[in-house]
Amino acid sequence: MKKKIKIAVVLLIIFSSYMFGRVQRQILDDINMPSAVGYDYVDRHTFKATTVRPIYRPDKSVGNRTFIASDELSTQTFSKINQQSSRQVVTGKLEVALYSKEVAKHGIGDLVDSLQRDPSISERLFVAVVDGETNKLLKKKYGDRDTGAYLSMLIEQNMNSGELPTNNLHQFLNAYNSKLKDPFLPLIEQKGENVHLKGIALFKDDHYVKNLRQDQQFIFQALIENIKLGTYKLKLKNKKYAAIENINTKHTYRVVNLKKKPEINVDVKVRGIIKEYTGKKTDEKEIAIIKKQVEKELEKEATAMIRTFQKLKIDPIGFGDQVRSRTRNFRYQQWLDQYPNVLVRVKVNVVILEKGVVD
Amino acid sequence: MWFRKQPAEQQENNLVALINMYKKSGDFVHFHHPQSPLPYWVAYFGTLIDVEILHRDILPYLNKSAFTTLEEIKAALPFEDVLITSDLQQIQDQLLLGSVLIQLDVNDRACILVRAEMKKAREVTIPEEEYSVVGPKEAFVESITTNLNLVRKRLPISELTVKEFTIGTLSKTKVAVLFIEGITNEDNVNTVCQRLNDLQFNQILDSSIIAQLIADNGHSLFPQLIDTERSDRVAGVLAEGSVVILVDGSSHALIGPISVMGLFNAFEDYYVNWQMSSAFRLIRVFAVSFSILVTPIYVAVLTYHYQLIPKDLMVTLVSSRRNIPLPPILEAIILELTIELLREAGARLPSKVGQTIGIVGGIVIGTAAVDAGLTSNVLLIIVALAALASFTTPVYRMGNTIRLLRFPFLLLADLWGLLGIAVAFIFLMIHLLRLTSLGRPYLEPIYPPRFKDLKDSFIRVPFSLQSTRPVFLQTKDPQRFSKQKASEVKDIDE
Repeated sequence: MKKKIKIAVVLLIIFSSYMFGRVQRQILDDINMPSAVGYDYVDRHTFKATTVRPIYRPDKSVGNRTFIASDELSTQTFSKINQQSSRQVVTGKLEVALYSKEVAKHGIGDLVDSLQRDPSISERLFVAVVDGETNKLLKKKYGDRDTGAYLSMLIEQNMNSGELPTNNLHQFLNAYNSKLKDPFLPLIEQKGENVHLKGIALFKDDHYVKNLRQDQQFIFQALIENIKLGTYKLKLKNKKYAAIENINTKHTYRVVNLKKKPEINVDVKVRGIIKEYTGKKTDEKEIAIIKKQVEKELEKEATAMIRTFQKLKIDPIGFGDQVRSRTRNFRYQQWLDQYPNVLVRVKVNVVILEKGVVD
Repeated sequence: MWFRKQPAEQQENNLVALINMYKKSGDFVHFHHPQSPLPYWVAYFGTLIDVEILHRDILPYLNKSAFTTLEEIKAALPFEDVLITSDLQQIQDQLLLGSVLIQLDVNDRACILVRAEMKKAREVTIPEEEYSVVGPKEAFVESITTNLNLVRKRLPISELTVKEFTIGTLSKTKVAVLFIEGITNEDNVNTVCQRLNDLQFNQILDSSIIAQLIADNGHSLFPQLIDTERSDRVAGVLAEGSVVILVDGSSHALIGPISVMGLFNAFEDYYVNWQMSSAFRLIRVFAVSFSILVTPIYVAVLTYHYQLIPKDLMVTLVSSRRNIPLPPILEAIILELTIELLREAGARLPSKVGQTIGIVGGIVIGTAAVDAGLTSNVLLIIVALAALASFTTPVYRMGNTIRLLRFPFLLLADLWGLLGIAVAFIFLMIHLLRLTSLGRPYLEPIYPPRFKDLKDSFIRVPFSLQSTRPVFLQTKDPQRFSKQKASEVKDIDE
């Protein structure tokens, strides 16, 4: 008898789980998986969302299809796109989220926040600002992959090769939600058949304020993270050029006078190889000149860059965090008031490891 | 039988009645020899005895001189186990086991029984299920005497004890329990003996029937006794302190108690050096988990968790599934069933036809199914690999278990995705944790954790570090050899 009840209970569990326990199925080939989304400015409240979904054909080639919808809310655009699609639209395979400069100027906090709230969207999603219309950029097909994959590979590849500081949705939100830091994003632009990295877009809270100058990008990155495999081009006084490659950098922050008016000293160690030099010879003397010049140049750029940051009252590098982590009873308001006048000294130390195989 | 109930006075007649009853069988021989110095009667089953023994070793001695008593005959015959009895039951049993009955007078109560059974057994051949490239190639045969001989040859010690049982009301199968006194834990031996004594079954055709009947949990998919056809393996585990059961008429011995890790050990592992055998064992553990999990994971990911697929794999997966009308679960079940059909057909068919079936199934059906758009070629590869992986287990029964285990995993993966796989895994773990083999925990050394036993589980450490016997066998003498003596260097250098 007991055994019969046991069997009946097991059967009941199996039956009821099959009847009522179903989760919504999202079978891989029956869903519309956008790989990139772009937001364009329409007016103060509405924006236009463009999604690109890859089309995988049975012969293993990949095509593109874009969907466009306008709305006040980001989630609503997806449901509007769903109305156009023959397959259910899911957000789990998003690789890149793009914002046009116009949208970025008006603030992207809410839009990015909606990405974060969707649990199926990866925190490692790449976020970027587009100089121009995202719609135009996304409609075109680049390379042999779909546009989303192409853009994410473009950004990722440049991050790995030291052209861009590492940045993704997680890091953007970290900076955005912090009281001290301000976020920055890569800036991309469509140029003819290609998309290229134009630079770095600086934000104050969630508003785009300024581009970082191209020549300041190297020292900007060196102050944020340890660069591996970076490159740096130097213009010497006598119209000669030198390219330093395989650069490894290491920065050390030192904060003095914490109590009253903090001063920040940063030592940046740059170790690299001279790969290309338009001068005649690279002897000891010449190398010493190059080394001196690089140091001077980088220090100048750093000071100028930090000055502009202080003028704009933005802190993308995170000096505030450096000070906070060293201060007991840190007071945010006091620091924010002090920030524009804080003295930041950047000292660069260049080591030339090699000068190539020739001579 | 009817004559058992007869009173003792009528026994004399009953022996005659017994012989008369046996005479109904065409192969029963009963004749009188009046010409010899003393006339005598002989009776036997012609199909059970070796006629050569009768002609060479029995009849000439009987004809040589005149005997007056049965004792004289017993002394004259060149056999060690000649029996003089008047016990009807014994006479009946002995005749059926191949004895020759000799009487001086047909109406006598007592008679002589001489064992002259025909010993027909296969030649000792190479193992087929547990074939190994290195190591001895000696497999058990269907005769228990030959098998015992094979084991005794490898363990010529007086401590090797054989306890015999006769099981089966119809088959009267001889079952032998082997262990080494002073090493094997008596609890294990007693458990086996008691379970064998308690067995109520009519026919024991093979050792696997015994294995099913005395298993701790008869409903479990997992084998709780390892069956082996290798005599070296039996000798090896006896020396470790296990109990071995040999069954007459079966070419497989049973080993117990075992732990789950024993199912991943081929005995060949001890014949190659420890690095290799460790690597092979790790591969087997990987293969088993791969075989159970890979198809369910495919189904779960493609049905529920598209986010988990890397973007580079997406092209391959989606484009291969583009034209397939079936949901992943049906696709997977169709292919799994195909593989099972192929295996079953291959096992049932004669070996030469079986090969053809393999080719037909593997190449023709596989390619055609993909071409027809019924299954994706990615899944075809996965299922074939999973089937291949399930055949890497050294214990054949384990491979079957694994292939069967896949189906509940598949169904739960379809129901709840990866969560379903987790649920199925939890059920499997609960089952394995509760399972025992002759009362010893099955999942040892993982749980209960016995770190000492890890030396011969996922990996096999060199012999110099294996100076103790496995902990879970609870041996009386845990020391296998003296580590101190073994580490003394006696080589003469320079």
